[in-house]
Amino acid sequence: MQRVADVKPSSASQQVSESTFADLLKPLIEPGFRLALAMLHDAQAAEDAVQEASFTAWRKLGRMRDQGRLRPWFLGVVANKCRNARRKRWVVEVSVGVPEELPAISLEERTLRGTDLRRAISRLSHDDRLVVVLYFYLDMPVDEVATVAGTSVGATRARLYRAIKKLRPDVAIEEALR
Amino acid sequence: MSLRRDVHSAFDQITPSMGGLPERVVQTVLSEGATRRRREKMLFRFRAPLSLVAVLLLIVLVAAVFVGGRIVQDWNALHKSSPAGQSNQSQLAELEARPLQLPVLKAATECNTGPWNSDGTVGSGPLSIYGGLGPRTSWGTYWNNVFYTDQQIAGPIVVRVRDVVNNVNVVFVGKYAAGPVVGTDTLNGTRVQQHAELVLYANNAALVTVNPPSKPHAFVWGFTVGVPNDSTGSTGWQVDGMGFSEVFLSC
Repeated sequence: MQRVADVKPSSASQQVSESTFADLLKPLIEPGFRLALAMLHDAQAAEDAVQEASFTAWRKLGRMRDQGRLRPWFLGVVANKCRNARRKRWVVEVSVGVPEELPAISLEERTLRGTDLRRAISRLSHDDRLVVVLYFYLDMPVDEVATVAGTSVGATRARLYRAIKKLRPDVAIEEALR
Repeated sequence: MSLRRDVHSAFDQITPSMGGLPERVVQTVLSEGATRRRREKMLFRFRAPLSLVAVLLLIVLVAAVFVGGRIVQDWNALHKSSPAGQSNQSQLAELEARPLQLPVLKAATECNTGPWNSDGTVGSGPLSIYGGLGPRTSWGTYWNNVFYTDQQIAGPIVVRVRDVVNNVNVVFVGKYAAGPVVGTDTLNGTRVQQHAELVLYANNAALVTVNPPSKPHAFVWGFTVGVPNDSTGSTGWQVDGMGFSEVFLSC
C-alpha cells in the first residue's frame, strides 16, 4: 500500500490548465477518498465529498499561491465537506462489544475488532476524528495534520493524545503513537 | 497490535476498490466545472437583488404580522363586545336567571331616589347612574343616562328596570339595549325596538379620565331608557354582574 504522506503534488503555475489540474488532482483523490470514508463510513457519501472538494479545487486552484501545500489544503477541503455531509445524516453503527485482548485473531474476530474501532472513532468529535484518521490512517506527520486541521502543532498533538486516551485508555501514548 | 495497524485494518475492511475513481472524479469536474462556475457566477450576480428581495419580503412579513395582529385584536374586541358573544353566553344566562329583588311600593309618594353617592350619582354598588331628560313620544318619556364605574368589571352586566308601584316594564333602546323585544317606537323619526334589559361589558365602555385623581379612570356607558306613559315614574333598578348585585330607586 502506498503511504499517502509520500504522495506529493507536482508544482504548477497560477493559471491551471485542464491537463495540469488533472495531474495535480489525481494523486489527491485516493487519500481524499480514504479520509472521507474514514470520516463518514459510507463509500457513496465519501465519493460525493471528494467530488465536491474537487469542484472547489477546480474553482480555487488557480488562486493558490503555494501549490506545494496542495495536499493538506485539499484534505482540509475534504474534511469540511465531510463535516457538512455528516450534519445531514446520522451514522449508526452497532457495537459488538469485542474484548481488547483476543488470544488468536481470526478473520471474523479481526472484522469485529475493526467494526468496534470504527464505531469508537465515529463517536469522536469531528476534529478529534480528523486528527486520528490523518495521523493513523493516512500516516501524515503531525505538522501536516495540523495544517489540514487548521490548528497549531501543539494543539494537534494535544488533540491526538486526548483522542488516543478515548480510544485506548489502557495503552501508553508512546506505544499508541508507534 | 499497534493502534496504527488496527486503524489501517479497520478502515481497509470497508474501503472498496478505487479503480478508476481519480479519473472519474477529475472527468466529472472538467465536464461539469464550467457549468457549475456559470451557475455560481449567475447566483453571485443575483445575490444583491435577491438579498434585497429577501429583506423586502421580511419587511412585508413583519408588517403583515403587525397588521394581522391588529386585525385579529380588533376582530376579537368586536366579537367580545357583542352582547350575544358566545364566550359570555353562559354568564349572561346566569345573570338573567337571577330573580328581581326590587321593592314593591303602594304609591309613588313612598318612592325615594337613592341611595345617593357623595358625587351626586345614584347607586349601591360598583355601578352608579346619572342622566337627564331625553325625547318624549306618544308612548312615553326617554332619558339619556350614563352608567359609570371606576372598577374593572369582568363579564357581562345585566340591568333590568320595573315600575315599583304598578310593575310596568321600563324599556331600553339603542346602544346596549338587549334581551327580548317588548315593543317599538319612533324616536327622532327613526323606528326603534324597545328591549327589556340593558347588557354592558367592560370592554365596550368608553374609558374616560375623571376627578378626583384617586380614581383617575372610569368606564362609562351612555344609554337610553324609556318610561311608558302608564308608569308612575317610580322605577326600581337592578344591576347584576359577576360577583355583585345592586338595587336602587329612581323616582
